[in-house]
Amino acid sequence: MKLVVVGAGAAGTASAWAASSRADVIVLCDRDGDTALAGGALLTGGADDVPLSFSETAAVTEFFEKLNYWRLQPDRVVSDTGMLLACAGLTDWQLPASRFDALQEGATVGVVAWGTNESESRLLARALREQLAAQGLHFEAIAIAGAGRWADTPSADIAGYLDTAPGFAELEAGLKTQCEKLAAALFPPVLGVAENLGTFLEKSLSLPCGEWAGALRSTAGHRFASRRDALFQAVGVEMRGDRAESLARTADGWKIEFRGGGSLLADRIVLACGGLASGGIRLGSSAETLSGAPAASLSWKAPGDVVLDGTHVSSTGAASGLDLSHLGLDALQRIGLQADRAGGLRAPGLFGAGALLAGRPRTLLEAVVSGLAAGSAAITHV
Amino acid sequence: MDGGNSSVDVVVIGAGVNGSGVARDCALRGMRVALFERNDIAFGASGNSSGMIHGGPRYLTQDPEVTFRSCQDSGYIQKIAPHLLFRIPVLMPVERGGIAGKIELLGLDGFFEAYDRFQPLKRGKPHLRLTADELQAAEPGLLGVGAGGISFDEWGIDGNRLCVANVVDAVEHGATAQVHTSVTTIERDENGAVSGVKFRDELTHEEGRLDCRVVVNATGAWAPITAALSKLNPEVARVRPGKGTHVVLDRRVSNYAILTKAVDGRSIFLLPWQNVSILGTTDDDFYGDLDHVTANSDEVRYLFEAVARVFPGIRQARAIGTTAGVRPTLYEWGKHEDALSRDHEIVDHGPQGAPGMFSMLGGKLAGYRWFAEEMSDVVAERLSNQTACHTHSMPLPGGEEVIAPEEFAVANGISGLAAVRMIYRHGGRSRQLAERMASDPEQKRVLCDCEPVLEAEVRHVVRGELARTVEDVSRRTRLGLGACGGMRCAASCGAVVADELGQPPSWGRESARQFLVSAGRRRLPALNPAQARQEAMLSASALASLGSGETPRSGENAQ
Repeated sequence: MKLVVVGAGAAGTASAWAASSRADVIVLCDRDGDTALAGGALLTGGADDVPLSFSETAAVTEFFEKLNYWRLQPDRVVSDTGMLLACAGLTDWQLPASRFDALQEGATVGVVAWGTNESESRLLARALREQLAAQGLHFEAIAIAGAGRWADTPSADIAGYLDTAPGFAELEAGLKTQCEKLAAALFPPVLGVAENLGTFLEKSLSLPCGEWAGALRSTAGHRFASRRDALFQAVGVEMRGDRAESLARTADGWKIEFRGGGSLLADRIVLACGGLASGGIRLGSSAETLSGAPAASLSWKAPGDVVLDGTHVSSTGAASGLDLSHLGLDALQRIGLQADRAGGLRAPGLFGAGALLAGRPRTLLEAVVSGLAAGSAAITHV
Repeated sequence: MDGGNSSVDVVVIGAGVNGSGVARDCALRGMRVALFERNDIAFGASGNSSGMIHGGPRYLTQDPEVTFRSCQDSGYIQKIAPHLLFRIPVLMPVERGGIAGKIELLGLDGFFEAYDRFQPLKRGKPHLRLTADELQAAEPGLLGVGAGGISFDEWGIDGNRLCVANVVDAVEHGATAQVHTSVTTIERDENGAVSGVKFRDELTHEEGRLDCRVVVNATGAWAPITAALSKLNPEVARVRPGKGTHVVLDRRVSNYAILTKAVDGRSIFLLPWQNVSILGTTDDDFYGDLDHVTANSDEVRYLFEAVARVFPGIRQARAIGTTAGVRPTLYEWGKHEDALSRDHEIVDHGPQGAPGMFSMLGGKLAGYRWFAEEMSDVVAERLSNQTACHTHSMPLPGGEEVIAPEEFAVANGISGLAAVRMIYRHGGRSRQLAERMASDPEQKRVLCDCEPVLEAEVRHVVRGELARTVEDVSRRTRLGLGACGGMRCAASCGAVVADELGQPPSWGRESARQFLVSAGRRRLPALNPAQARQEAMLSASALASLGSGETPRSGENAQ
């Protein structure tokens, strides 16, 4: 059986992996979406989060082991604003807040300014002192000679440089000059792309080292992509850089046509191309709406009912499209395709996962869970 | 009050342009002044106006005295705050062609010839009558120019900065000023005369009391509510509130202002303003909550449609936000909003049994100084103060020195753009920011890339310009009002504000969150579908890093 997964973020990757043992899987990946832009940790979505069932937990754990990127490890993580946020899982790069529990009262944690400048680290250190006041820890901004030259460089580029031998040597030497007084070191998201350099630093310097959760467009996307590509290679999933333009039913399956020409036949399809933010769902412009086009639709021609809070939005709004000032931003994050619990969409053999689906929390963990469900359903449902 | 002083001569309520102008004028005359503002400086109409110090050509036919005074005051403001003014050349196409168009153009030519007589008062250039070809050569994006058009000359200003400068000068001349502080009661003695005020800090909830002999109600559209605090009937300070909405575009789409007409015949403009463009304005009677005035999608589309008719390229422009304010227009029954007078009026509530209580009604940004002078004259007379007004000749803070941006940038090791923007906002006071950066080079850090705004400036406006929240900083510096909507800078700014105020970092995060929620509410009506996609993700991410899952919802109270 041939399964085509549209989208290679968390949901698409989980779908492809879940189906890979019993189907020939092709993943279409056109451009970066939410996962590639996210900050690394699996933050929980607050009250909207759906607790995992036992079977879901087992499936997610197995997938994470194979992906070798996230660990399902409920903890707290430091955000780039100095907030301790609850998370359902972490990458190896991040320093879980529980590591601070083992530190003695009065111990000093260095907040390293590598790619951020010192005053930013100082304010972050101050925020952490407030957050962990009860533990009596001392957070201190640490400036390392030479590191300041990276102040305007994207963290992914710094991480790529530190991945090299000279880069790591510079990092290690710089921190060594400061580490005697430290009980732990907290870094911006620069500790390598291919490898978690925090583990090497921990060994060589004998102190806990790790990152706070990176901001949008940090290194997290690069790290995820490299682990995903390795997983696909290991399980024989093929990835193509094409953009699907339309899906059409054939006598015994589906035909996918690409924007640049060419087509592909498939028995089943999982749509995991993101919600409004990633471009899977699109809002109509005023000109389109005036000409009778739907106010919201999939960004390419495919069967699907776009709903918001259970109501179709195909004709919602004024003559000039959806009234955003009335709907509010939170509506933009809930809008999506209507699906059954297994991700089944309106047409047979067509499934959806991740932020494409309406009314689900927009968290990475939810994307993974729905991706695994859709991938499994695609290879079992007739 | 500061230093235990619990008695002043004058309490001014409202730190819009009228209130801050009166506070400055009275303080310069040696009166003891206390200024209270329940939101922030320029929170209402003053900070949400079209940002023009115009000469009032619309009054030319009916009331040329108003035009004369407006132009004269525009000239004064240029003298006292040269850094804040920027020239705006205006193009006014005559859409009709043929004989009718030519007649209309000749009529306009004659009208502006009369206006030219006032232009020297404000260093304005005389108008030009342009052929269709000349008009299109000046702005190739114009379509349907018909018979040609007129160009004339006006001045732009940042209304927020103008108000802040007035307040800072008042404080430097002995006044006290408290923002986010409501006057809760205006007390009167047994004869009905004003005797004091009670007030409450809306952020700390601390309360206080102050003796005074005069209260000036300069609260704009809130005037009737304020009058009622002294147990007067609100009708004695009645205004006709008119909502004005503007759309902010991410860049200067033209270097000329384009003046045209909307579908209902109202005048609409597209204005190059600082580093953005402003599209405005609407004028509708307003009966809603004055503390939460926001634009809506209908108003945004009305404005876009109006300008697109003569300048179709506007449809490709990127709208990044809206502003909405409520004009405190003088009350008249039965008139269309546009036909209402923009004149001002001082109401002495003495005859109504409240001697010492005055209300400033109506007015406009361009005539604020003159209105403030008139009000201060009345106050001075009541308090037997003989000192003359100096507000037309004494520079506002920053207006005392012209600084060359290139040299300033090099000397302080900051970018040329950062220097230009800083000097625009702070004029000669940029030297104070330079001292900050010299003593702590870390403060050269750029917090807001869009504007740009440096950490030093954020600390300066907190320390020296009464900013108490991220939103206050934004109003003074334009931080977070660019294309990113504050997603990249609000958290950093919150941390700096908290640090400067000695507040915990969690307070700074909450202040940043409130700013993002309220900025989101201002941006939503202007977003197109493609922008909505980015907005959905960015705001969720920014709010998540602040530790909140909340996202802006229309009508939600950010406070």
